[in-house]
Amino acid sequence: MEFRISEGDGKRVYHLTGRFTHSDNDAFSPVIKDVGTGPGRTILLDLSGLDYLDSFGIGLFLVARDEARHSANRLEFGEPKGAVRKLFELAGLASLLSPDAPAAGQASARQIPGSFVHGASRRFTVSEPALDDRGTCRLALGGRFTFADHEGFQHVIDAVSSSPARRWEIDLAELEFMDSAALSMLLIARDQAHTRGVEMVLTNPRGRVRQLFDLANIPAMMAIEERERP
Amino acid sequence: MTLAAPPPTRALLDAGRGVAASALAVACSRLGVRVPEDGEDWRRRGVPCLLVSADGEVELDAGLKPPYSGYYEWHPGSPMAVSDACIDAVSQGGLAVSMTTARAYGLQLAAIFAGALAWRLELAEAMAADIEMALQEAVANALVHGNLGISSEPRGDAAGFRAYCATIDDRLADPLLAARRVEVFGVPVPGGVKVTVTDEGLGFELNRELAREALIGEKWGRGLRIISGLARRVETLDGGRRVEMTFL
Repeated sequence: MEFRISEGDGKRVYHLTGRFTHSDNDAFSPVIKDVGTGPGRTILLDLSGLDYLDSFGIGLFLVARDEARHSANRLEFGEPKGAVRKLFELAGLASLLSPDAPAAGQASARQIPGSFVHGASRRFTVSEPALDDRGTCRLALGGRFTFADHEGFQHVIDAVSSSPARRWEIDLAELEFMDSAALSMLLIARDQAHTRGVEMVLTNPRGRVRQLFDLANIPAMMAIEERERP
Repeated sequence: MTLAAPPPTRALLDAGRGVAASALAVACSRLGVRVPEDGEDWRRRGVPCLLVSADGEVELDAGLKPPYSGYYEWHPGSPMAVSDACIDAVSQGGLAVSMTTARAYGLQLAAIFAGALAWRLELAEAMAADIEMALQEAVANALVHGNLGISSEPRGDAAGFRAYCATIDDRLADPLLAARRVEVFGVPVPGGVKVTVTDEGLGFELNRELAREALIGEKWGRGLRIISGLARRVETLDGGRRVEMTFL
């Protein structure tokens, strides 16, 4: 990934181009530092020149968004194309692109004033698996993962069954809720990996997901690791 | 105890959904559900009221907000049998939901109900989170094992999982199974709340299930133990078709 900077209309614009993946942590860090310098600035990340984005790139965008919020700056995301836009939608983060618009899959909930279902990531999301050159495949789960999401999780089972990966890391940082049936699906994926001689670990469970793990004694059954997120 | 349903019903009729108001009123009357006259200020009378609708998530959400005390899924032409438990729950100042398996399966019923109950009864955030987690397990059990009658768990490989997904789809496509109801009630009790889930399956025996649950290494069968870990008291009635969870 590369970027160039332009200024205009009272905002600084970062024009991102190329492929934006987990390996771009260092390349993107000046942007994160800049959006965290404030307050009162407006920064636009122009994504129209990005050819590819993986879930770790999404994670970097979220870090940038949080930095901007902490510094009372406004961070905007401009018009991704094709697969990059699709990834935003799959990750349930389309609202980042247009903060006033409903997120993908959330139209019904957003149409209810004062709905008891809140948030842009309530529905279950699965990122595209990203395989690095050391044979580790990472994907991220998000939203609410429950018994009814078996079809969505089928994609994960299929990916584990067919990937050349030697290790899987399932990131749960964006997973806000899961039930025991969802837990069982994760264990099936783990067993599927093991039958292929592949290790699988869960990373960064948070809040109520972590609470469920403890209630169900999952740490005794499956590797759980804390990982620095890009 | 009577229950007033007509205002929302009339709202539905006004929205042009094609149900004859008189027919619905007659059906309500047969069930002992009182139908107020036009213009009667039923809100001021404080009569507990269910939102009766064929719609799903939007109406479910609306039915759990004042002035309503719950949601009853009803389709024109089908019998409307509001259960005594439903009426009891709203009469006690609680919330009630009655819907078909077909509709409930695709909704975040536990999240919506727990959120509404916490708001209505002003429950502490920690208790609301426990209720949601336990209710999620109870609703999943009611739908999958109860109403859809899926007793066996999938084999722990990709083929077994695909077969399990196919079984779920087959059962949901069975109109008799899909029409089975799941009902959720939440009523205030001294110091907390009692949450109840009912289904129309074959039931189960709580202590036996708890005794065989939670073997380390097993992939399935943790739901009841999770419920037991979160609720102060768990009871089953009606042969296991009714699970009552008390949170204090």
